[in-house]
Amino acid sequence: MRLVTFELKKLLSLPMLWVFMLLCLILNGTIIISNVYDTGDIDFSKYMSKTLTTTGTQMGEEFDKILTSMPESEWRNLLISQTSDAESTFISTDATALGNKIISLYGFSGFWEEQITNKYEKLQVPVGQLVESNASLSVYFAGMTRDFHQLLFSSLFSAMTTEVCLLAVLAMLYILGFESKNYSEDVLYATRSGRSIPKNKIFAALIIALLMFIILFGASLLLFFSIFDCSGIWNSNVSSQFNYIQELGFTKPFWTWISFTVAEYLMARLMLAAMLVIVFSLFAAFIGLQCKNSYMGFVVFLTIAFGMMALPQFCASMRFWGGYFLSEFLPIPLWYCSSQWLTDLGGISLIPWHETIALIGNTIFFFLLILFALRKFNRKDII
Amino acid sequence: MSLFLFEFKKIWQPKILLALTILALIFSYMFLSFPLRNFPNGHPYTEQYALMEYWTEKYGTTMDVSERFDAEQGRNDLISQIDTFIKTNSQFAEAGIHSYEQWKTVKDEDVSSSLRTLLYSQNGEWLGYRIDAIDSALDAYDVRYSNPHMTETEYTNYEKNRIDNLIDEEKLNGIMPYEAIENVTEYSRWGAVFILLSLLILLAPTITRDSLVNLRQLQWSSRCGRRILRVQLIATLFSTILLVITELALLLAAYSTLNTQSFWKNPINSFFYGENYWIDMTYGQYVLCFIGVISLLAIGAAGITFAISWYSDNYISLLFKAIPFFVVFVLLSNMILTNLLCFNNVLSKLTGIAGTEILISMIIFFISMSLCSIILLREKKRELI
Repeated sequence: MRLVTFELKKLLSLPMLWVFMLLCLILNGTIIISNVYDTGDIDFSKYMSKTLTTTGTQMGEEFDKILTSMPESEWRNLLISQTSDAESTFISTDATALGNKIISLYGFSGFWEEQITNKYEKLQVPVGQLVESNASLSVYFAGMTRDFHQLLFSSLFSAMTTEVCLLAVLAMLYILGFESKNYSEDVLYATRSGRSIPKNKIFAALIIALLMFIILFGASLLLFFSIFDCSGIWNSNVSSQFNYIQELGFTKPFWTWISFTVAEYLMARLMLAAMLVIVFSLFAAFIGLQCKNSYMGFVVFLTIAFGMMALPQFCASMRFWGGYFLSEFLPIPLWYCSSQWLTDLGGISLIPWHETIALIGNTIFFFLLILFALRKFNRKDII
Repeated sequence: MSLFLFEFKKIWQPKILLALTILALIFSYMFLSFPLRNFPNGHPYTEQYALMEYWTEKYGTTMDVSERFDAEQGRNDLISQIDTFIKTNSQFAEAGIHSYEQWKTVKDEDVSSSLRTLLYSQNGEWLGYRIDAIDSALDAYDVRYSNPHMTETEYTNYEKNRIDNLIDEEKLNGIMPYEAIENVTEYSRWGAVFILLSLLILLAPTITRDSLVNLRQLQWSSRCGRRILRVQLIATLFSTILLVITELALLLAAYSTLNTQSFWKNPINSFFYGENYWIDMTYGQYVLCFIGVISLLAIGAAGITFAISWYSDNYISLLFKAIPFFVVFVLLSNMILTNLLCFNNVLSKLTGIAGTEILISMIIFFISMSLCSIILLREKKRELI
């Protein structure tokens, strides 16, 4: 543990790590402010949160009655125009029809067509439950829902995840290349702790990655929620009729594999994002164990990352669907589709809970890869 | 000279070059191939582009009023072709339609849309899109000095003066397809991103590496002494020029396969492409303008990369600086290259000054060179220990 503390000190004393984090926070603040500036969304969110504590989060006759009896205001009228006489309905309630649409858009056939059909047949079960529980009548943020959801779970989450992943990769490469940079490698490996030091380094870099995750996500979300008053919407269902996804030019409902309230969905997304950070950190650890030079390590990481991003596109253009669906399990494609996590993921996944399974699989895979790399490292000649 | 060659060799590391080559292939496949493979991108752009190409061949770079009436004749020929198609098609016959003019008067939406599909299909030789292209081009020609984008009230004084100048001197006669300019802009934007990325990867580690292996003090005690940094800067700039020329040559070679050169001498202030430019330029000059701005930005970026490298004492500190710099520079280059020298350029709109984007590119270049000069001066005065 003492060794891990030393490694942690090395990382925390890197000034640029903190400067970079500050720049990331400024960027996140800019994303939030540029999206809400002069839009009236903040005032509407405040009004909604205050109102929803009285009306509840489910639209319907009771909701309409309470809302109409409330004091007249511009926001009340807006909310009434968006929610009055709301019916329990999604854009569509037929998951199989959605599957057929996806199949025709992507041009899947044979075995792959069957698998996609199976996935959407499985989706019909949670869709039925969502319909039964009147999830579509959940008010969420009414007419502002789509913009709010996009800003928080797409723009801001994508930015924060990318930033922390980069921080995690750089921290890992830095700590694994530290001894080589200071010419202390040979002396260090001759000590009693010797070859077990990289293990401590990886552990320390993982702790730093999670610490950065907590600080960056914490500060950015704190800023976000201090601007948007969300106190009234936590219990709203994320699959509200106001929320939808646009894929390849068509609109589909925001169907999740189980029913999520906004608070539950936020927590689930945070956990998945933390897992992605760990995956990137382990991925960088594997590269760092192979490359003594941390700059070359980053160039290798960048090249592999670009390769991973291009692979699904390449396989799809060759109509090599097996390769396409497999490549969607790689960390970069997973990061790329993060705004749709926990939904059906359209034509990029074959199975329910694709992102969760892929992230768990990636964590195990990279963990085993590191064990293998460490084993190899233990047997490597110093000179 | 030998020192320069050593420094030059230090920059062009084989491992980095290999990584750059792989990155170039992937990047080209992902981003640069789209404007190359999908040009012109679907209907009606294919027909519009083909029409402009045909008119350029027939009338030259501009279209005068007499040529406009000749083009009208071309429209009549196409209508005859459509009439023949309609007469020979059974579905039109079943609907009781025997000519293009008759089809245009069909009120029943179901009948109209099913017949429309025939006319706008490959079997119908895309005749519908072809006639639409001619009609929209001729309409645009007729209203070129009075259409809404010329009389918009929100124009600044600069913009109003420029519009007056375009109207007075009748400069909106150019034959220029929309797709040619949009495509070259998109291609240039991605090209600039890749050039910047490759410059950063190639140049960034050189000076930091010297600092890491404690070479600076050793270099200072050599005969060349502290002048070494000047040699390193020259090698960096020379490498930049070499890399930019190579990449631009490759990008241009790939782009030349689209044969947009047929519009090389056509003015971009055109009746068909609805944007107004600050300068009277031909398409060829506009392409050269893109090359010039990208080169200016690239040299500016190289200077800043040199400074970042000098101020970093390890690779990770270097990367922590280089990544935000890359993000900012990509955003800036996008703002500069989108609608370059056009009324609608974001930067020009922001300041209200014509050609702000060029001014900003030059400012970046001068800041970068000044930064390098300051570093060279500081290096001379720096303590050895």
